[in-house]
Amino acid sequence: MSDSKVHLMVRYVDDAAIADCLDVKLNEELSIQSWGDEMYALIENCKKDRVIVNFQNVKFMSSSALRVLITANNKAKTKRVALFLCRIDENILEVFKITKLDSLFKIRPTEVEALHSQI
Amino acid sequence: MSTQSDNTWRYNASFPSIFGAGDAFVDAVLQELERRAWSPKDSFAVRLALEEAIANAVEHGNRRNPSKQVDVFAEISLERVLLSVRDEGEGFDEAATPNPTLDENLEIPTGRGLFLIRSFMTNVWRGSNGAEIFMEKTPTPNDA
Repeated sequence: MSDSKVHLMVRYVDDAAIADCLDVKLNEELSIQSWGDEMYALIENCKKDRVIVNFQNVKFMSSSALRVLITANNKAKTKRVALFLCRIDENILEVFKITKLDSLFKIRPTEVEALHSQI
Repeated sequence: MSTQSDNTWRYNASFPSIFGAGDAFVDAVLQELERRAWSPKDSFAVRLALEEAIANAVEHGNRRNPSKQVDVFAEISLERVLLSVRDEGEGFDEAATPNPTLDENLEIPTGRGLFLIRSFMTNVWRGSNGAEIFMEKTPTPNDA
């Protein structure tokens, strides 16, 4: 089961698909499931070399959201798409650091840096 | 139900094991933290721990059975936050949960909730049967 809201707004710039997260909170099970489905579909159908997920709007994230991101990262690796995360809130970034997921993901401070990072 | 005495705010509630059913309790705790000028960083930590504990109780303790209850308690003062979350499950052996920060576990999507609770709270302990978790947070010094 999932909700009917749109959770990602996708733009295409150069060799990248850039997905803006529209949610302020990524903590509700149904929303996270839908958010994940949108993310997985984006990666599966991606014709670009990189997917950049922009977290500018997101102020809170639970471990369920981490679960989706790790699954998305695993799918991206299989599909040979480079997955970048950017504009992560300071408190949420701490979650990535504590769990050492900052070493698993390609995290960049800005969208521009994610666009110009080597794949 | 919430009560206020000795500059300490207390709130206890019960709700069915449905995702989202504990939102009102979480919101009440966050409002009280803001009212007492707890820092946004500490409020984030408390929220994360509380939401993870409630999700664990619903998912793993009560196995999403809506006829089973989750009991929660919060006690908030300027000096500390004390939270408890209890489910109707049989508890579990925490020592058996793998460390999610080991290289070989990083790509495993699940199993970070309890680790986050322990990382973001000052003290964490379990009730005798393992189905209740207690979490304490004291204010982080300003320069931390």
